Amino acid sequence: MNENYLVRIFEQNNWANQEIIEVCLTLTDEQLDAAPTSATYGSIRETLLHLIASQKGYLRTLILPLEDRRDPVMLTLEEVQESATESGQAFLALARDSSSIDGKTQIITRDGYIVEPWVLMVQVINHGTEHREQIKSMLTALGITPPPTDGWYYGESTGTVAKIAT
Amino acid sequence: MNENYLGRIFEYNNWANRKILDACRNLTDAQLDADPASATYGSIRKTLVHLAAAQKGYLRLLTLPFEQRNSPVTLTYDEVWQTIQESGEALLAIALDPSGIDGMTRIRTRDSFHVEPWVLLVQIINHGDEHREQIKSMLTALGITPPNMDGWMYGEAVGDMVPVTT
Repeated sequence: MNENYLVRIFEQNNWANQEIIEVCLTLTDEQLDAAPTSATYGSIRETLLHLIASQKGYLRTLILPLEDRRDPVMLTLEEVQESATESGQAFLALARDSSSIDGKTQIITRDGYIVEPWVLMVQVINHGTEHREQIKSMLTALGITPPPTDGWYYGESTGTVAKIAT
Repeated sequence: MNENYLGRIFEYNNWANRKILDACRNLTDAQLDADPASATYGSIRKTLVHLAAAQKGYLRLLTLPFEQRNSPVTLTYDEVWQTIQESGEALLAIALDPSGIDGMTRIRTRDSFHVEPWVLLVQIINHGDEHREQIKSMLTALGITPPNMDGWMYGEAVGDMVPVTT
């Protein structure tokens, strides 16, 4: 059976989100709210909430009519892990079977744009990686080694990158 | 015709690479080689060369037998633009028609790992996003506004995200 490469990209996105969330949930309030020393969305807390709220928002844009998604997505830190899991699984399902969005066109966003569905699929992946990279930078600035979240590590975590035995 | 979301993700990757290269085109040597103030691969120059060399390396892993890629990809800064373009187009072709890699398995890397092809496709996208984010952070630290190059901007660039006209 041929590999579904799009699915693998969304799987890695979900895994990477959970890796970052797990580390961030061990931080103190002071660490979560420390002013960033590099260009980021905001503090670790703000960036993490934005990342996961946005992912939920992108999903809602794809699957809900405008009247059902006029309010912004609001999350607390306590809700982040569950929200990331739910929206991540939903996006993974779309990556496996995009038939429910394939016929859609001219989706209206809350902030007054018309957008094609593929843009949201691209944005989910790019947005996640960018903000995770910002969080990793902030963790490093706090003296905390960030988790590796790249493709190689995801491959190792799933057993599909393996050291050749000598 | 159903959308090829994987193709769109790789198209975005190529567009974003061009955007970041354009943003760095007029930097002075001092700016290119400035010590980063945040966690990055290295200076802007080093990160760009690494980004381009790695993308070419990932392509070689997918398309060349081991004996033809046993030496590392080495690039000069002047070669970055062309290398990014060439490897990006080749990877987009693979994303649009992966039949050439679908039967591959246990690809041997130069550093003695076996890897499945999907890991490389995931890594290309993730790796590009991460390093472009680092370069954007370094541009900001230099007082240069980095390009806005997320999924939304790509959607606008190709006309698939437009303001609602009132």
